[in-house]
Amino acid sequence: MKQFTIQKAGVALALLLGVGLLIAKGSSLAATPLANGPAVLKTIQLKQDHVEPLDLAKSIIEGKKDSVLVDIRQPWEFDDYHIPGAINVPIDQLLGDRGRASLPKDKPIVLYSGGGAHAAQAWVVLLEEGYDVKTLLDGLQGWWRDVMTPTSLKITDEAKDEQEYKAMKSVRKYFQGGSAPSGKPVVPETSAPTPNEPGPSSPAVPSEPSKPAPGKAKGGGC
Amino acid sequence: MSISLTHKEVAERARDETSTPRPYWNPYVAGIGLGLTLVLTYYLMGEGLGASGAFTRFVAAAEQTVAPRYVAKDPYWSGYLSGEPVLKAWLVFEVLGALVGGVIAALTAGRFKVMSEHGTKVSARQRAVLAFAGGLLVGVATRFARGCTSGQALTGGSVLAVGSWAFMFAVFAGGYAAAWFVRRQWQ
Amino acid sequence: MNGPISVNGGFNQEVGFVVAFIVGGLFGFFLERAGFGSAKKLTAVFYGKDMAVLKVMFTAIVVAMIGLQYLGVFGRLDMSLLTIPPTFLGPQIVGGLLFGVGFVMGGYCPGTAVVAAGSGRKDALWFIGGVLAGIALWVVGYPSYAGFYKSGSMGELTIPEWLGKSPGVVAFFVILMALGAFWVATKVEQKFGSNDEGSIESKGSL
Repeated sequence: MKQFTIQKAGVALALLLGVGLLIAKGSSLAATPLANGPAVLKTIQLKQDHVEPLDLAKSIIEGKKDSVLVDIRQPWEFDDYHIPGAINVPIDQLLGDRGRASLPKDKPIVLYSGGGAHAAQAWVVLLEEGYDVKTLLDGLQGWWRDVMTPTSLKITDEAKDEQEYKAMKSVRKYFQGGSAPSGKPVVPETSAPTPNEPGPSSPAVPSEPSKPAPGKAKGGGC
Repeated sequence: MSISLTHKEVAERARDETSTPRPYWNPYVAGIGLGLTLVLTYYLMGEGLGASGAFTRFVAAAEQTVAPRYVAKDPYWSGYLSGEPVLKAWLVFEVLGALVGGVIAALTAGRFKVMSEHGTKVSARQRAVLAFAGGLLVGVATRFARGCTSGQALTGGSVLAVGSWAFMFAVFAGGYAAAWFVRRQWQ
Repeated sequence: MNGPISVNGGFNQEVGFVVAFIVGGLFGFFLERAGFGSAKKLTAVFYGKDMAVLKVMFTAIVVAMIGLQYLGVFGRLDMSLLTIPPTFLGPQIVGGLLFGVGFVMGGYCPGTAVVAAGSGRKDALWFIGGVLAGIALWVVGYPSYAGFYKSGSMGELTIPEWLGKSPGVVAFFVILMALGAFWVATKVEQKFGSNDEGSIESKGSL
C-alpha cells in the first residue's frame, strides 16, 4: 500500500515537472550560442574565436585538412589573390545554396575577408546557424603583416631567438616561393599546396592589404 | 531471487541463510539513480555515458599493438584515431569505473558469484556459444549505429536525439522478433 | 560555475578522467542494483515476464531529460555545448535491429555485460569477447559498407528541431509516453510473469 502511494506521488511529480516544461518551453538543445550571449563573449575572451595568421600558415604548410578556409570576399577579389587552399563563398551567399554546398557542418571553418570586420560579422551569423567557425585574425591584412611581409625589423624584434626567427623566415619563404629582395612577393612555385592557386601569370599580390596603414582600410576593413 | 540460481545452488543457499542475495531495487528507483548519474555526467563533462566506444578503443589498441602499420592505413581506424593514445579517452575510464561499481554493488548485495547464467534446457557450453554469437552481432551493430544502449538509447534519448530514439525502437523490434528463436536458453 | 564544467574550463583532462571513473562507478552500481548484471533479468523483457529493462530505461531517460531541461531553463547548464549523438537514420535502424537480435541471443548489451562480468558471470565474458570480435570484423569489412555507414546524415538533429516544436512540449509528451509504457509493462507482467519471480518490491507496480 505504501509502495502504491509513493508511485502515485512519483507519477504526479513527473506530470507536474512536465507541465512546468510545457509552460517554460524547455531549453533548446540546438547549438544557438546567440541565445546565450555570455558563452559567445567567453569564446571571444578566451581567443577561441580566431586563429593567428602564422598558425594558419603553418597548418597549410603541414598539409592539414582538419579545417576549411573560406574567403568571403567577392569572386573578382578572390581571383585577384587568395590564401592558398581557400575556397570562395561570398559573404551574401554564406547562408544560400553555395554556402550549404561548401560549408561543412562537421569540420571547423576559418573565415577571412580583407580586414577583420566582415569575417567577424559573418562569424556571429554562422555561429547562430550551428557551424563550428573561427576567423583569421585581421583577415588578409593580418596575413600580409605576419606571413607575407618580407623580412622586417618588426619580426626580428618579436623573435625570441635565432631559431624562431629562422622558422618565421621559412614560413614566409614558403608562401612567397623564395626570397623577395625587391620586396615584391613572388608567385608560389611548384610546391604550392593547392590546385586553386592561380598560374604564374596571375598577380599574387593582394591589392588591398599591400597598401600601407593597415587597420584603416576602406569599408570597415573588408 | 531464485530465477538466477540452479536447484543445487538454491539448496546451498537454503543452508546458509545469511548468503541469500538481497532483492534488486525497485526499477523506478534504479532508473532515477541512473538518470541522475546521466545528468551529473552531462553537467560535469558536456557529454553522456557510453560503453561500446570504449570496447572499440580496446580493439583499436590491441590491433595497434599487433599491427601498427595496418591500423595506420586502415580507412576506418585512421579516421577514428587521432594523435592521442587510443586508450587515453574519457569513455575508457568511465567503463573501468562501471566495472568497479558493478563489482562493489554485487559484493555488497551478496550477488557476486562465479557462474554462467542460463536455463536448465541448455548446457553451459551452449550458453557460451550463444553469448559469443550474440556479442558478435552486438559488436557489429554498435559500429553501424555509432553506439549502444548506453551511448545511443540512454544518453541520446535523454537529449531527444532523433537517431537515438530510432535506434532504441529498432532494438526492441529486433529483440522481440528474435526472442522466440532463442527462448530455450532461458527456460 | 555553470555547466558543462569541463567545457567551461573547470578542470583539465586528467581530472576529467577521474570524474569519468567516478560517474562510471555510479553507472555500474545502479545498473547492478537494477538487476542488469543478470542475463535472465535483462532478456525477460523480451518474453514479457519482467519488464524491468523497459522501466529502468525509460525512467532514466525521463529523469535525465527533465533534469537537463530544468538546468537549461534556470541557466545552470549551456545546452548548446552538450554533445548530442548525430543522426544517421538508416545505419542506426539497421544497427538497432541487429543489436536487438544480438541482445536476446547474447543476454547482455555492452554496458550491462561489464557489470555482469563484475558480478562473476562467465557468460558475460563470452559476450564481451564476441563484442570485441564483432567490432574487429566490422572494421575489416568497413570499405564495403562505408557508403551506407555515412548515409542519411542529419547532423545533431533533435526531436524538437525535427518537429518544429519547443523542447518543453516534446518533453511533456515523452513523459506521458513513458507513464503509458509503464502502465502497459505492468499489465504485461501480470499476464506473462510468473508470481515466484521477484516480489512487487523488486518489480514495481503502476
